[in-house]
This record gives sequence, structure tokens and C-alpha cells, in this order.
Amino acid sequence: MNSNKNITLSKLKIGSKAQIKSLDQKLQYKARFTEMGIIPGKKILLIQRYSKKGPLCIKVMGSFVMIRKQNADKIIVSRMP
Amino acid sequence: MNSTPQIALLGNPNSGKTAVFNQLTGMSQKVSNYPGVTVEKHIGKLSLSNKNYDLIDFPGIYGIIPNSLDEEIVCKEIYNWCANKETQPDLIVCILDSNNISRNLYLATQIIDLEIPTIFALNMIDLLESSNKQIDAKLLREKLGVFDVITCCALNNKGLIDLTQSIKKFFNTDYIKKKSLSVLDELTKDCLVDLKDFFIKKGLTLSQSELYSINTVSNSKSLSLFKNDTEKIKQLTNKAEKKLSDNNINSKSLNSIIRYDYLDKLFDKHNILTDYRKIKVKSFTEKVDKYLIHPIIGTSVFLTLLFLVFWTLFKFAEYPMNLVELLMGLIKDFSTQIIPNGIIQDLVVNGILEGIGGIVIFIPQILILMFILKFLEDSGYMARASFLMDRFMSKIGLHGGSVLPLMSGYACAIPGIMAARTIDNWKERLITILILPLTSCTARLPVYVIMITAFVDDTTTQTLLFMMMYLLGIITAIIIAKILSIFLKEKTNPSFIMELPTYKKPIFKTLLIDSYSKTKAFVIDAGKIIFAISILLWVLASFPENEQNDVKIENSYVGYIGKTIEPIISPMGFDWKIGIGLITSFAARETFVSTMSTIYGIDEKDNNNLKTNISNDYNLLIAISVMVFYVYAAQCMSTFAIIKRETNTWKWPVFMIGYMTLLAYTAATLVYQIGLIMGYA
Repeated sequence: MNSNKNITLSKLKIGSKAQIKSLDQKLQYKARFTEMGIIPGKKILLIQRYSKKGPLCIKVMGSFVMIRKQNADKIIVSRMP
Repeated sequence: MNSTPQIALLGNPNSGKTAVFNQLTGMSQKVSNYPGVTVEKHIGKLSLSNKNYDLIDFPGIYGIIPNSLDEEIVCKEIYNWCANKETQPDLIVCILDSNNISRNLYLATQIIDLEIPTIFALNMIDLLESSNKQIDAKLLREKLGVFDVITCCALNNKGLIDLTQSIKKFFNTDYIKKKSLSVLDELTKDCLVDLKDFFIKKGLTLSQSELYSINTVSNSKSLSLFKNDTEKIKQLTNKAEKKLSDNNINSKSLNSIIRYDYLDKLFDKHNILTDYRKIKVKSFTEKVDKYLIHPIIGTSVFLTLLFLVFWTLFKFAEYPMNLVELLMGLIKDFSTQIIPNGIIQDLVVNGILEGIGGIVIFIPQILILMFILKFLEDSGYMARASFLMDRFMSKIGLHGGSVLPLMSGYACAIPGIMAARTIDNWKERLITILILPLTSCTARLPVYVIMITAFVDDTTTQTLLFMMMYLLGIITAIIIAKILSIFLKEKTNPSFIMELPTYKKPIFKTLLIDSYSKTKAFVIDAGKIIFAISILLWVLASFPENEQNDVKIENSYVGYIGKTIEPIISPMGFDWKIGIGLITSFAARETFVSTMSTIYGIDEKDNNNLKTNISNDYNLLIAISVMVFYVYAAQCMSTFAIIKRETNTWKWPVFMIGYMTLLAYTAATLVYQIGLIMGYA
């Protein structure tokens, strides 16, 4: 049941909240992402998405961060109410 | 040892470091709301109770790991402090954004591990308090064991007295550094032991060694800091990584995980941050960003803004420009009256004043452009432009991070090329640098304006033609970027992450001071070249003396040079006069207008202004050909020099000159020849 809720960050709906579950090993440049607070356990909010393949703007640890869709594909989250 | 005490200013990008620096030193250094505004260190003087201190402002960093060139500058310096104790600053002031405290403490806890006395300044406290939250600074100080923690708001000068008091107190007491934090558990410590011992042998303290062991296994970019020890450290790192993974510890994000874990526990256990809010309200940035970075609404706003900028440049600048022209006329009349007739009067009035006058008239437009660009940066909007452009930029081998350097290029290529240091990937940085001279900088503005206004009267057509020149530059830049990204072999990095700072209301005074000082620098730099060239030109144009007054300049040295190159430039529709303009433009393009002024000033005794002279001698087709040439031509010694410096080779600046000259000549020739065939002459 619980595992069904896990999706990639890129599939999240605009305006919805989620908790980061894990980062895929294939995420390039991982250290930079974790430095910005993108680490398992942290809550995020999807503010806006440019297009299907375009960048996303998320709020994490109080700051607004832009990430690319290819990277968001490698970030696993679970939806929060 | 240096006798003046050294205070280093460190902090995250957007934490308001530069604002604190400006307020403390009274210097108006550039403050911006965009990651990576300070790309080099700046030293300022701080004076407290008759004692002087050196305050050093560094580029912002997220951690003591160098991800890009500007960060590498800071991290190398910090490592040097650890390896050579005598280079250490006496005190570190670490600026933190209060509204983002745990992310900012991530860096701050690493700074604690440096074991250099530190004061934390919790900046932008106003914003935090207005959102009904509070930070217990005393408790934070107690738990982290730093010398002091103060709260302030640098933008409106609040709380900075507390900071200066604290600095004074530090230098007046014998402060003994408390033990640093140990964030590592025993097992991890065990895995890192060889690496740690190596750093200790290099002279680092225990906690510094732990810090660098963690950072090196977390991110291989740290290896760039160690010069001769790189190979040895790399071996030890590989060993440590293996040990960690044998124990099921993920080394790649070790740094972030242990530090954020430490901070989470600290905040859970102690009431450092209290939230008094009953209901959570969305922040201003959150509400606005839903629209401003919306793919359709946001992009429309962005394009509308761009049009407004160009429109303002024409419409708004008209009146001050007329005023400047009037003033220059008065100065010339005055000089004619006080200087006796003869060669000196001719040199001053027709040589120097005519040349200088040709450029000062554009001060209003340059000022307005600088002001608008600064406004966009400070408000936080420029980072949104990066977001909106990223998808497109990725298609031409760049990313959103290239937007700020390219936009700065509209003011001047030099700061733009410097700002490219924040781009973490070499290939993307190189492409950005190489296409940057194609964005129409303020030096081209005078050329466009004079050519357009000489032949077109109505403002809308003027604005459109003007925009077309800017568009031509940027479209070509895009094509060149795409070609370069195909041919350059270096690896690209498809990953990209960038902080979008919260929106802030820019301070009018800062905007004004900044645009004023940049315009002043431009006018003085350009003025020097123009002054020298005006005199040289006047001499070459006035001699050898001859009797026939109406063809005086044609028979002078300048006329001779111009006529010699005429066959080369005639396919573009240029005559020998424009040819002289092209030659003097090789130092800096803005001299074109002053050169034309000087040439006409000497040749014609009736007081026509430059615009009338140009419209008498040439036509719209030639004007467009000239503008197209100026869009493409690499006519700026400073750009050449800075590209040499930033790429550290002659190869790229020479390449830039080559491709741009080829483009300029081909494009202008095509425009003129096709125009002729189509019957516009």
C-alpha cells in the first residue's frame, strides 16, 4: 500500500506536498543536490513546472530551488496530504 | 605578519553578505539578489573606535566544497588558512539568512570546524519576525559554541551596531576557542581514519582534518584544492570510500546527511526556532512565483518586460539627451569665445570637444539601462528569467545559469564574462564567454541610435529597428552556441540546480549609486580612449595643411588612410569616412560616433549636427549595413583581454576575433549587396 504512493518528483502535481524518500544512485552531481537540502526525510512543495520536459521549481528547507526534469526523475518522493 | 586585523566575511549566496559588507565599510559595492554576484574577493576598510580592520568579502558558498570557479576561489583560500596558520584571518563573520536557517547552518557548522573564532550574524531578521517566527540567538550561541550570535537586517541598517560591538568585544578580550562540534559517529570515524591522519600530518587540526576527510569523500570536486597532494589524497579517498560502502554507509552525500542530521536533532531538542503562526500562510514569493514562472503567463511577462526596456531606452531618454546636447553646444560656444582663433581653438573645439560630445550624449541611455538591469537583479527577477529560459538554453547546450551573464552583456561584456565564473561546467562556461560579445552592449548603443535617428523619424519604427539589431545579435549568439556545443569535445553536465532567491524590494539608493558608478566608470574609461583618439585623429585629419578648404580632410593623412582601405570596405557600402570610424573602433566601438563627429567637425564649417551630416552623405541601406557590422564585429580591446584572462589561453580570444570579424564582413556585405539588387539605394 505504502510503496504505491512512491513516485518520482517529476510526477508530482503543482501545488502539492511530498516527502523525499530516496535519491537514485544514477543522480549525477548528487552532492550538490544534498547540499541544497534535497535529502531523504525532507519535505518539499512543488511550486511550478515549466513544461512536461522543462525545469521544476520546488520549495525545500525554506528556499526556492530550480531543478531539471531529468534530475527530478531520479528523486523518489511520497505524496503528503 | 599583517598588523591590521583581518576579518573574513563568509556565507551562503543570497544571505546578504555584500549588503553587510557595504554597510560596514561604507563602500557601495555591488549588492544583488542573484547567486554568485561577488565572483572575486573584495577587501574593504572597517574603522571602529579609531582602530582599523580589513574586512574581506568572499563569493557566497553553500559548503566548503568547490562546485564552480567562484567557489573554488573561496575554498582554496580556506584550505590555505588551515594548512598555513599564519594566513588565517583573526575572525570570521558568518552571515546567515534567518529565514532559511538550517540550510545556512549547514555551511556554518563547517566553518565552526575550521576552529577560527567566529561570529554568526543572523541577517534579514525583520522578515522572519514579520512572519511570526523567532530565533533564540543566545541559545544558538550556547549550543554551537561560537564567539557570538547576533541578529541584524543589513538592508535597513538594523542591528549592525550589535555586530560592530561584538567585533570590538572580540578584539578586546582573550577569547579561547571552545571545542568544535564532532558530527561523526565512531564507525564513520573509523572508516576515515587514514585520510584524517594524512591531513593531520599536513598540519591541520583534528577537527579541520575531519572536515576535509568528510568533504573529500562526499564530493570529488574537493580534490581540486590540494595541489601536489591530490594523487595521495585520491588514493586514500578511494580506500575510505570502499570501507564506508563495506559498512553500508553512502559516501557520496555523507557530508550533507550527517550535518543535516545533526542540525535536525539540534532543532528538535532545543527551542531555537519558534513558530508562533496559528495558520500557515503562503509567502509572497510563493504566491507570485505561481504566475511569474508559469510557462505561458511568465514568458509573456518576460517578453513584455524586454520590450518595455527598449521602449524606455528611447522614449525616456529623449529629454535628458536633448539637454546634454544643448549643454555641449553651450560649452563649445563658450570655448570658441575664450580661446583665441587659431590652431589651439581648432584642436579644442573641433577635435576634443566634438569627440567627447559625441559620447556624453548617450549617458542618459546608458544610465537607464544600467538602472533597469540592476533592478531586475536585485528584485530577484533575473533568477526567474533563468528558470523560464532553461528549457530553451538546454537545447543549445547551455543552461539557465548563462542567462545572467548574457543579460549583463547588454550593459557590458566584461562583467558578463566575469559572471560566467558561476557556471560550474567548463564547456558551458566557455560557450557563454564566446557568444557573449554578440549581445549588444551599451557601446554599440550610440552607433545604433545615430544611424537610426538619422534616417527614421517615428518612434515606433525606431524602437522596432533598434530591437531588430538586438535580436539579430542574440539569434546569432544562439546559432553559434549550438554550433559550438556540437563541435566542442568537452563533456557537458545535464544536471542543473539553482536557488531562486525570494523577491526583495530593491533599495532605490543602491540602484541609483550602482548605476551611477557603473556609468561613470564607462564614461571615464571610454572618455580616456576617446580623448586620446580625438587628438590623434584631429592631427591626422588637419595635416598636411592645404588651401582647398572644401576638400581639406580628403587630402589629409586620415583621408589617405581611409582611401587606401576603401576598396576593402566598399562591398559593404562604406566610404572612406566610415572606414576611419571602423579603424578607430578597433580599440572600442563607442569611438565610432566621436570619430565621425571629429571628421565632420574639421571638414565643415557650417554648424550642422552629426545626424544631419550623416543623413546628407549616406542612406538607410548603408546605415543598416553599418549597424549589422557593429552587431557582429569584435571591436573591443578589453573584451579580448578579459577572455584571454578567463580562458587562460590565446586560442579562444583569437577564435572570437576571427569568427566575429568573418561574420561582420559577410553579413554587412550581404545586406548591402542584396539591398542594391532589390533597388534600395
